[in-house]
Amino acid sequence: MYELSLSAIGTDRPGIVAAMTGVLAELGCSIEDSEMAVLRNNFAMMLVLSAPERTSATMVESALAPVASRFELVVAVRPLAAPASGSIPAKPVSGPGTAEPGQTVSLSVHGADRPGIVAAVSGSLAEEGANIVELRTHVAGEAANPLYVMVMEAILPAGADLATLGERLDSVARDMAITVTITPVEGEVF
Amino acid sequence: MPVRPVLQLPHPVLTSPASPVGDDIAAARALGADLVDTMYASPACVGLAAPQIGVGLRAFCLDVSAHKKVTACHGLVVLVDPVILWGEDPVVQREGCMSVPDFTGDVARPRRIAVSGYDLSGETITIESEGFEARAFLHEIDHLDGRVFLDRVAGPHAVFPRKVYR
Repeated sequence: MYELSLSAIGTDRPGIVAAMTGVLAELGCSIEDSEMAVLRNNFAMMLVLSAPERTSATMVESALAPVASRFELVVAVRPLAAPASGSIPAKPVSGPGTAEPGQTVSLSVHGADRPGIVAAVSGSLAEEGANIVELRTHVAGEAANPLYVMVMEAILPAGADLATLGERLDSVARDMAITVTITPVEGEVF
Repeated sequence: MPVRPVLQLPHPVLTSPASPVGDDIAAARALGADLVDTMYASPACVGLAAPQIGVGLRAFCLDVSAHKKVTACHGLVVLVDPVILWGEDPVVQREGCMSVPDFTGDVARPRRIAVSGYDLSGETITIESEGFEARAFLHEIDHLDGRVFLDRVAGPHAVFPRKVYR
């Protein structure tokens, strides 16, 4: 067995998951990790499959073609990429307020909707070498005065300076008239 | 003593720290009456803080007595210039808010607390509470610091959009 990555997007309709996973089961592929989301009426699914050696990515994609056609989905299957080494760069910073290696932080952001909120906040994180691992945004409230809500989780590089990141985010919050709260995610203690 | 409109994010009053009421009992009584009337006007509302009706002062009301699963209940409470004395034993529970009607969120807060402040006769009172009522106290006091539950959620998977709020 080896691992494949499968992604599918399209307009949400009942029966997509059942139809796709039915074909995968017939091929002998097991679903290992998966996430599915519906945004407004858009469906998206990402799967990590464990596939028999004799079943190539192209074969899986071909077998799914009738389902893709019936539900008007864009389906892509490819061998799962190995994690890039050093994808979270270490910064040579140390001293008081220094983050633990791999410190995970949670950010919550809200304010009047305007262009550039995600870019400004994620830009501050990128400048500190942080890797965003979860991101959700929502537009809510009245059409005349919409509220933008963003929640995200990011992993800081070893030695990242929480104080510097906090200052960067405070500055973004002032410039964009938004509220930004950053909270270290406590690790499980056993 | 009118029912006032409840403001929603992104209104700036909701993200600004409120000022102490001080010893103006008449002002506190008028504000307290509006808070209580507005809270009771919405059946699902168990607490309301002054910034939610557009007043940047440190006062709130709550009444959890109609809520199921209540373990501690002091009935109707109006508290002015409140202070959290202590809190212990954090637990995560789902919260909603009249000022953030499109979302709920999972928030960790102490299960047991003590707060003090003064009531509408100007008497200093201290209340110990737990469970749902304790959470309501802390949620309302957060409003007085310009904070909503979204600022305390545990991460992206702790915020839940919802379509209907009554």
